[in-house]
Amino acid sequence: MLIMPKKEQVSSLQIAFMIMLFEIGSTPLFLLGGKAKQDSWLAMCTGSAAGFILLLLLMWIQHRSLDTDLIGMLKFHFGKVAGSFIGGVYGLYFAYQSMRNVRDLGELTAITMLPRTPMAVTMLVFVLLALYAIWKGAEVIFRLPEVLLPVMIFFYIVLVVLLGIMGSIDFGRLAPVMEGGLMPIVKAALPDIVSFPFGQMIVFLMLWSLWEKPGVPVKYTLNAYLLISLFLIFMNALNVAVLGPTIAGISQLPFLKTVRTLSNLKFVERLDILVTVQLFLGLLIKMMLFYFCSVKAIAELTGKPAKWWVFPVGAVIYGASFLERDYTQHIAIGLGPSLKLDPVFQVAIPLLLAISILVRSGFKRSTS
Amino acid sequence: MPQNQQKGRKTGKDPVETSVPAPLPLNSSLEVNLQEIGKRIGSSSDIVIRNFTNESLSSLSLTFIYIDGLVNADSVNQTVLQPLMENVTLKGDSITAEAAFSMIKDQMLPVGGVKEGKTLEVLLAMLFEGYTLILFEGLQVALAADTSGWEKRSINEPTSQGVIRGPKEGFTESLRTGTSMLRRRLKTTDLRIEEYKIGQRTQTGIAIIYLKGIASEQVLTEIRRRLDAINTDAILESNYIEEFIQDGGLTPFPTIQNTERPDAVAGGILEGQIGIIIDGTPFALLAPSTFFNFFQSSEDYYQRYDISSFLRLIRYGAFFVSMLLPALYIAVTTFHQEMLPTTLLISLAAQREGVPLPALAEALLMELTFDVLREAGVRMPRTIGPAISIVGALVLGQAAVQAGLVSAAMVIVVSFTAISNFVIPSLAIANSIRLIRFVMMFIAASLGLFGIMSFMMVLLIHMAGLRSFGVPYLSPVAPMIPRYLKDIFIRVPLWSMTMRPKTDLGKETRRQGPNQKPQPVEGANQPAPEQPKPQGEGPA
Repeated sequence: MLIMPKKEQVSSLQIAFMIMLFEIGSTPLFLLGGKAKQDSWLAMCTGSAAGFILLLLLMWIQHRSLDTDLIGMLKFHFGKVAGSFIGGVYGLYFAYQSMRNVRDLGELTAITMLPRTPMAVTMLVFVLLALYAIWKGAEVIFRLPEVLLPVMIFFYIVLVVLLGIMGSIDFGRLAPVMEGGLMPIVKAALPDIVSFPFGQMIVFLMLWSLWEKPGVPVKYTLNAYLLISLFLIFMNALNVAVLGPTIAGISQLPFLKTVRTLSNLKFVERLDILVTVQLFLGLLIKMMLFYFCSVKAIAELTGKPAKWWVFPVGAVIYGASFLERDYTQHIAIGLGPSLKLDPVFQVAIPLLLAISILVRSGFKRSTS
Repeated sequence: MPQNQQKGRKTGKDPVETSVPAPLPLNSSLEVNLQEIGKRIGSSSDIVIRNFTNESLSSLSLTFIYIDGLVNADSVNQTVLQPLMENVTLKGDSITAEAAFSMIKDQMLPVGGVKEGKTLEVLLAMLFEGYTLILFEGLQVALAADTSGWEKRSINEPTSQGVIRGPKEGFTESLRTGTSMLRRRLKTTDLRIEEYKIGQRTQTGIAIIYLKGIASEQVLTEIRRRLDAINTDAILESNYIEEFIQDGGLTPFPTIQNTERPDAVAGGILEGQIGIIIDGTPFALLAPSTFFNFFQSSEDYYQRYDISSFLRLIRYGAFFVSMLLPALYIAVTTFHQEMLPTTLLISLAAQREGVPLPALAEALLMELTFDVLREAGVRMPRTIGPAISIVGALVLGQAAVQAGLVSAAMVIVVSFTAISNFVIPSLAIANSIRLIRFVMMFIAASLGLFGIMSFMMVLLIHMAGLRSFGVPYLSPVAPMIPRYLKDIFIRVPLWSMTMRPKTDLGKETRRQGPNQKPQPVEGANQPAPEQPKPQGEGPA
């Protein structure tokens, strides 16, 4: 091919779009912080604020280790053996997260679109799609959000406008604010909402090094994060404002229910299709990015080219998505052990890295 | 048609056939030369060989050779035969062959292109370009006078890309006509035309045309390299070139535009694209081309920007309809009936009740029927053309529904799909959707909407990885260059397009001055207030 940059590079705008699409993922479909009832949006605010601090930490770490990704940092700070081990665990962790998204999509497709098609088929299609993009490389992956994000935002706007026109939105359902004081909100936010979705920004420690310049696109990253936080908080509030805290809290897919309230529009009976598209795109990008990070991590650890690992990792993700017996178990694991494990990867290890950076720089200063 | 500036760029090429003889220098004997020429070209009936012996001077013996039909007979008579035969100097004096040669070359041929040739190959190549060869007895060099002139089609309105407002002339099969049309549109010293001869047997003239300083040098080098690498026996149409030089083997999407319109080529050249004109076809090529280029029509710039923007959005809509509508119909009727409003569902179900075929078979039947009709429409002699439309209307329409073969809704779907396909200005991309549509229908029949979305993603990933001469196929959307989006989905007013809306490889240059928004001058005697540029763009 003619003009190919030597290293795969992505622009700041692409990173910003990717952050937004990645953070949207499937988030608006669920009611996060449902434990806080009508204050779930406040719980989202808290979670987003906590996630913001975490993001600053991650950006600082990346800023102090230019041109290296997470695996390089781990090796540098924890030594070759321990660093490689932790790196390997991260590779598995990313693959695990990816597999959760695959299973999510399998289950959701079965619920909303193809009840009679075996999940094995839909999940295979899904993994193959991601595999195709990853095979094409980082540049192609980072071009996808530039097309998909506008499409997704457009669909969300259509739905919100329709909900507004139909008068389904009643922000009175959000009252009373802080009925039980601050504690239920904080409890709902920490650590759950930080772990999903905001803490998942950890993947960008693997991706910032792809930026065309060294370091972190600070302005773009922060703006993207803030914008998308506002959007997610708004969507959370919207779900409650349409359905009320009780129904929103107990339904499997509250946003789908919200959209189904639009059925008395005369010209379109069901707008499920828009929700389904959003769900599909969001999950796909999220799953693709985790998959990509997993491949990248393992490739870097083994010193083999990334393409060498695309198929094996894909096969593992596909195989692992069958391990859980049913949706109940999938959700139970997701909300139970998985959530307990997340802070280790999202907070604890980055903190250790940060401490190591501080100690090393202090050590350097004292010796010089 | 003279090929004055042809450049021999065929270094390092293996000839297609190994039997091509080595260049043969002329013999000093006219007899031997004529025998050799006869051996090479045989005794075809259109080759005219005329011996000319000066009566007063037996030593000066000349032979003219030209090909009837490739030369203009008047021009041969007036510029070659007449001066030589009537010339008194030649008749009277005794003169050596060398002196006659230089005299004829310098003084007696009132024609622009006169060349010398020393080998048979060079001379024969010129012979096939319409030159008249003049061979001398006793000399190892011959003259060739440009007398070319053959029957050409006159300039007509382009048949495949009509416009309501805009220039009505299209390219013709003649390369020189094509380059002259562009010269007339781009009267700048920066316009460059480079000519090639490609094809061992056809020796087809190919011109690449660009604006120096605006076209990307990288792309130019690449196009030259790829043209040089072509080693084939024949180039009969621009698609031969297109297939040899375009990127990416396995893709349904075109990465080079073709057009009959000189104004479209001029517009592309002005935006940094490189035009390729091929002798023998009115279809010129434009490269590099992105996906969005195929949705731009030159008429977009000839009418108001608001209506142009609207039409462009319609085209993108038509693109999706043309690709997806039958598949969506299949998916919805097979898998997702609950998505339809109840009344529509009932009416659809009632229609489909009498139809013996599953939705996929019904859709395939109708789509294939339409493609057959379309192909027949192209091949059919003009006189029976109207018959096809009647039969088509009956077969595709009422009769099929009344016979219970297809449902009325299916007829609507297929006809709307077909009509949408013709909205897209470029036939190249419209044709690629025709194939994608069938794949989409099969996928929709097996995986419903999920399958359609998945396949759309496959196409998107594929296009995101595609390049046209190094330019990403989806630019300027992915990778996104926000300031170039002014001419993609909508077209902003011309005065606000201050920069060339070009992909990241073309050089970014200002194409018109700032502050061109027409507005009344404030105050009779004051100059218009100095404003920042309309879109706040910095200079390149």
